[in-house]
Amino acid sequence: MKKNNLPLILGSVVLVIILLVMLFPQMFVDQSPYTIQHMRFTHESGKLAVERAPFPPSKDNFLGNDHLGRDILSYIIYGTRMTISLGVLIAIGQFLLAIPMALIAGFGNRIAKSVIIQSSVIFSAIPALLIAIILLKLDFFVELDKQKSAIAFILVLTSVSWARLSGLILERVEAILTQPFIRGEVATGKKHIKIAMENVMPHLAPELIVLFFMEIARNLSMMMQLGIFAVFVGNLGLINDATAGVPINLEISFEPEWASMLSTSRTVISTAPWAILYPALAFFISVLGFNLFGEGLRIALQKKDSRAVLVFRKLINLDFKYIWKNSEAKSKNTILMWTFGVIFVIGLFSWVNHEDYSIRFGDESLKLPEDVVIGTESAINTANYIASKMSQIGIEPMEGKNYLIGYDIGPSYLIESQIFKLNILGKPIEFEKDLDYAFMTSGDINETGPIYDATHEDLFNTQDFSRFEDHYVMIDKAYYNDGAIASFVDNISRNARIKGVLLVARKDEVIGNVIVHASEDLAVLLISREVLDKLSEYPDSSITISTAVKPIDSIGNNVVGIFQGADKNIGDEAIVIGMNYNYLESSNKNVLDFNLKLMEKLCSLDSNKRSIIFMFLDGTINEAQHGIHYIAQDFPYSSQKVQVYIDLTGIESSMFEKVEFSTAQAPITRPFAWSLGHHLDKELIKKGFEVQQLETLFVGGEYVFTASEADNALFWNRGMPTIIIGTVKAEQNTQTLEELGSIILEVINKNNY
Amino acid sequence: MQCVALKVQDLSKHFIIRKSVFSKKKIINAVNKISFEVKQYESLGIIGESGSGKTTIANMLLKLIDSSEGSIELFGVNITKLSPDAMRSHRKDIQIIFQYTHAVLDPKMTIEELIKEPLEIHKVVNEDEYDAEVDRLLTMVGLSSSERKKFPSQLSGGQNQRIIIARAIATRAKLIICDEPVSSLDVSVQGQILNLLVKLKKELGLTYVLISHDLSVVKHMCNRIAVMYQGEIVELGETGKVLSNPTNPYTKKLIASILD
Ligand SMILES: Nc1ncnc2c1ncn2[C@@H]1O[C@H](COP(=O)(O)OP(=O)(O)O)[C@@H](O)[C@H]1O
Ligand SMILES: [Mg+2]
Repeated sequence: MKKNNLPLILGSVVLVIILLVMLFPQMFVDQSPYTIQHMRFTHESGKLAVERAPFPPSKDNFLGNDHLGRDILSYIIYGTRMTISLGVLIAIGQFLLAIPMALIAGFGNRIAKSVIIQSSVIFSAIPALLIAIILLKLDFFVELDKQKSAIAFILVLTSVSWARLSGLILERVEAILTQPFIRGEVATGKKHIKIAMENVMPHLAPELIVLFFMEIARNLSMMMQLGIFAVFVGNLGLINDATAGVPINLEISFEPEWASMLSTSRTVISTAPWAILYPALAFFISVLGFNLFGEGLRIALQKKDSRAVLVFRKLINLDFKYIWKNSEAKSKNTILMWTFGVIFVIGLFSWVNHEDYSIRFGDESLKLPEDVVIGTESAINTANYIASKMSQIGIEPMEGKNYLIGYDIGPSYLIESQIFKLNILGKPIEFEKDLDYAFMTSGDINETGPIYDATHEDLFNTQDFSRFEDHYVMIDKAYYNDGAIASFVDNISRNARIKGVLLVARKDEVIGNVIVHASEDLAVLLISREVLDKLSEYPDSSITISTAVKPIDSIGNNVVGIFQGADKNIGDEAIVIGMNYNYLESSNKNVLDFNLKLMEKLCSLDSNKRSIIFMFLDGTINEAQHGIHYIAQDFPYSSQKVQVYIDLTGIESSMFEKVEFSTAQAPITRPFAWSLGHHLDKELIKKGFEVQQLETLFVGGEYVFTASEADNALFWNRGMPTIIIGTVKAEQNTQTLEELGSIILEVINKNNY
Repeated sequence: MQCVALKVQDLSKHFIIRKSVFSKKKIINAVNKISFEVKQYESLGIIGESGSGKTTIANMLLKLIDSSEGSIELFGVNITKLSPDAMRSHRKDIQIIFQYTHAVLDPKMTIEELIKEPLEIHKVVNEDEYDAEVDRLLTMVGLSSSERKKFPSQLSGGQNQRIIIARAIATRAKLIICDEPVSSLDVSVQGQILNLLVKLKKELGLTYVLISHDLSVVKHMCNRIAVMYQGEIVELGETGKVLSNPTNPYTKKLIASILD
């Protein structure tokens, strides 16, 4: 009568499937687990409808999406590798600790025995789960990066659960040691360690193997329980929402792993039960699979007559006995030492693998020109210099073409001198350039004339332009967008001979300009709201405007290159970094040198999995010529592949007081950018930087920066999540770029694993 | 003059038994102040009924358990207080032949491995001579080298007992303690094993301490016998003298039982 070993068959099937999923996840789902679908558009009877995640299971998303828009199926499939590996690694850890301890204790070492007994008493009185939760919730563990977090996780779970296993093994070891043949081995003169390896282990091995699979199952179910308590590898432990002073944690890990899925979704169990049901099911099936396999093995090993088992037994014997026995005493020591050495070195590396994030600059700035302004010779020289640096480092030009991507800024002048004054009888008021006003458009002009105040007029419906004739027309930018203003200026200047336009700046708008659009007869100025008030006090006085200009080249050059990512799966995902190369004061040469060094250092770090695109933007001194606008129109890389844009153009001096920083355009729906921003924020505060947020407006569910259009260019035109870092000067400029640079390097490097 | 192979003085073993933490201690005097001497090339028989402490003595002589009192001298060296490590080098001089029971040989080792083991441990011969030596030992105990790859479970009790003997003589031991070497074997096989022991003693110049509950096994093999009763030696002397002229009532009873 032959009975099939059903547990073994079922268990093997499950384990084989798990193994396949771990090895070839791409065979099971097409979708990358990192893609996120937060919103979905549907056409229903001709109407466009928008839905927000979570989405229930559907034809396209077999198991649905969670509330962060992550596809459950692909997350589970890709999470298998990490989840199961953790279970297995913890089991290995337990066995590495439990077996030697049990053997030592079995041979009568009282210390070892009492350690085992005491530990298992402690961990059975206070459940291991509880201890693991308490330990792993400590800030120390929460703040570790991924790799360390995984190691810490394994170590903690190993240390809370080895003793019970060791107790079990000890019992078996003691039973084996009372067998008559052990007495014979001792009488022959065999050493304890040899008896342990050659006599005890072979008898123990079949049970150990069964236990091993059972332990994996236990570990997985422990991880599942921990997941429900928000303890899992790589927990970012964030505060999602702190309205009303009650912090609501968002437990999230951006690496696919089952326990974290349970954790992240546990708050939405009522609205999106599928988001928690399926990962739990994945756990359940794996736990069952490992248990069945272990049970099946036990049954198979107990059947003494089975041929397969004989072979299996021999294999085990081979493992423990032949290898050990057939090597010389010397080489045994060598093997032991090597094993420990390798483990130690690996451990050491993963713990102490501190990259050098220090950044040194300033040496190169001697060679740099005194100032670099778009359209001038120094700009083109500097651009070429940056390009040569890029090619030295191994950064390639975009689309295989040139590093320099030119753009037309139209005929432009560099202002050499400028005057703007209000002619009040007796004492004229002269305004201060770059504070009260700045020219946008000009030529060599010297004109006096009255002001026509159009700030309260509806300029969309102007029919009669005669009232503007021979006046300076004043328009308030606050009421119109840039496009509307451009068309008013164009319309008015074509239909009437006006002297110029005064544009009243929006609140917070930066006023300052060195380059103007070329125009011999029309001056356009940006004036502050204070100037507007002053002018309104004297409505009948005339103003005088005079400028001396020098023509410059009408081409700007962004210098752009890509450092290819090393990972074959995510290597084409990109991190974009935007930096300055224009500067006016020679003291700011250092900033350009810093930018170059930052680029060089980033490319030399060892964990560049994703590509990094470096953009040295031209014209950053002036909003109108700012290179970002041009590159945003025709971005040389797939916007979808860009994980984050890090805007460093705000870094303008090497000594500063505060850091200007914003992650408003790196929403949680863009996890890579969001997590990068989050870590930057944490690091900046930890290193004692005073952080100043940028002003924002909330428009249509997303944020708009109000200070400069350039800040919004890539997020609003290209949908690239943007993080802005800049420097703010004030009285005490004690903070240095070295410090800031090392934080940026470290955070980018750690996020780019 | 014959040198003294083994000298035992006032040797005792008390087992302390405690069923649970709360129950009272119970002391079993398994062996109580026994003394005897064995000269080289001599055979001493130890006889006594089951439970009289014979195996306990064997275990103490081989330091498989610690003795409670008294001293053991092995070829003039006091081994009573030796550490397990220090004892190891003396183990090649004193070996034991166990009573054959289930799993007295490691069931997961082949015959070859089992016999090689003492050779390796005590470096009896060079590594390249192991195979030849295993063959020689197998032949000496009356087995063929075709049994080398077998496991103990594939051999008969008598054959296993021969393996045990082969392991004992492999180290070139001078003194061999035989604890019930034949008692669990078929009667037909018993004689063969005893003859093998006699033959080996002659060939290798061995000294035996032969332990048995069966007087008929001991009387042909030993020149002297010690009679044990409840942990004590009640009579010790030349085999002929003890058998013909027993002084102790227990000995008398014992002799009477085999004459029946
Ligand atoms: N490990 C032990 N623990 C407690 N009592 C033991 C132990 N070994 C033997 N004894 C006791 O010591 C006595 C002598 O046993 P043993 O030496 O095996 O006798 P024999 O070999 O003569 O039959 C017996 O009463 C036995 O129960
Ligand atoms: Mg006995």
